[in-house]
Amino acid sequence: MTAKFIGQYLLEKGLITRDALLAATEQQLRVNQTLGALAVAKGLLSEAQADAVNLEQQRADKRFGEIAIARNLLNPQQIDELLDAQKKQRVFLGEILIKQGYISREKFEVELALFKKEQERSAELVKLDLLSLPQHEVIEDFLDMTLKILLRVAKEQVKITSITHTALQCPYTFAQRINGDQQFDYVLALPENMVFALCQHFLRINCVEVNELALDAMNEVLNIISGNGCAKLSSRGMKVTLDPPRAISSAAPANAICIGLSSIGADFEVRFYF
Amino acid sequence: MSKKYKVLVVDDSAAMRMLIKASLQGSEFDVVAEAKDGQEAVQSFKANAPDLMLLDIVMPGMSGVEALKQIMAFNKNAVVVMASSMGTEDAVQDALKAGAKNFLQKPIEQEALLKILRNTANTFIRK
Repeated sequence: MTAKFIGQYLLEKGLITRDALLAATEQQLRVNQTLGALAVAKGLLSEAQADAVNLEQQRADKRFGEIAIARNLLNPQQIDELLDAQKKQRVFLGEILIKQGYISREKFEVELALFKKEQERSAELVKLDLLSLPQHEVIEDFLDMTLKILLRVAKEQVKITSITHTALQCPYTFAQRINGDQQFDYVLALPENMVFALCQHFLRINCVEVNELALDAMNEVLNIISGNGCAKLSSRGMKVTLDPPRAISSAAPANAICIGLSSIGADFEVRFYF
Repeated sequence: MSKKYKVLVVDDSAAMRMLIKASLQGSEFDVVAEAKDGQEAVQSFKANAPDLMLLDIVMPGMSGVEALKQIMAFNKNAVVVMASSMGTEDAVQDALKAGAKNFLQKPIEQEALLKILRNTANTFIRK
C-alpha cells in the first residue's frame, strides 16, 4: 500500500530529481498565500486581527473562515471571495515543475492520472484500517497534527502509507506520554536521513551527524506535535496533560499501532502505545 | 534602537533555546540568560532581573506554571510570555491566571515571536 504526494511519486519513478522537487516545493510554499495574508492585503483585516485568528486557528485547529466569522471580523461572503482569490492565485507543484522545465506537460498529465488512481485505492485502504481501530479519533487527531507540524517546522510534505502492528526498523525513537482522559505514548521512529532532514529545517543549520543537539531537536519536534495534538483533544472536551519527552527502546510492544509515513526520500513511523 | 530589553529564555530543549536566540539576534531583545527547568528559571530570574521572560510549560522537574507562580510571588511586575506547544484551554488559562502576560504556541516562527514580544514589551514595560 502506498500513499504519497505527486512530487514524491515523480521522484520515485525517476522522472524528476530530488533537487528539482525541493526547489519546486519551496517555490510553491513561497507563492501560495494564506487566507490571513490575503485578507490583510485586501484591507479586510489588520495584521493584528489576522494574527489573532491564526493563533486561535493553531490552538483550536479550526478553519480560518470559521474563526473570523465567529469573531465578527469577516462575513461569509467575504470568506467566499477570499477563498476564490486564494484558489485563483494558487500555484500547483505540477505547474512549477513544467514551467521550470523539469518535466513536459504531456508526461506530467499522463503521470498525474496514474497517480490519482493509485492514491484513491490507497486512501480507501488506509481509511478502512484506521476506522477499524477503537482509538481512531485520537489517532486521527494526532496524525493530522503530525502532518501539519512536519510541514510547518520542517517543510516536509508527509503522507500516510500504512497502518499495522509491526514496527518499522528505525534506529531513532522518541516518545512522550499523554495522561488524563486519554492515556498513551506517542512515538516518533526515524531513520538517520530523516533526523538530518528534520534537524536541518528545524534548526536552520547543516546537520551531518546525529549528535546531542540533533536528538534534542527531535525531542522538541515530538513535543510540538504532542502539545498541538493535546490541544486538539482539548478542543473536543478531553482533559489531557503531557509529560516531557523521554528516550525509549526502539522495539515496539505487541499492541503498538504503527502508522507508516513517507516524505521525500524517507520512510518513517509514528506509533501509539495505548 | 534606544533600549535593549534583557530577556531570560527558559526551555528544557537546548535546540529550542538556540532557535529562540537566533530568532532574536539583531533585534531589541537581548538574551542575557537561559534556564532549562523551572527551578533554574526562578534562580535565574532572581539573579538576572530580566525585563522579559519566555517560559516553556512542559519541563522535567518544576513545570513552567509552577515556576511562574514563584516568580510572580517574588516580583508581581514580572513580564512573562509563555512559549509552549501545550495549547490546551487548561494550559492557557492556568498560565494567564498565574500571571503570564501572553501566550505563544509552538512551533515558534521568528516573525510571530518578535511581534508578541514587541506587543508585550510596549504594553507592560515602562521605558
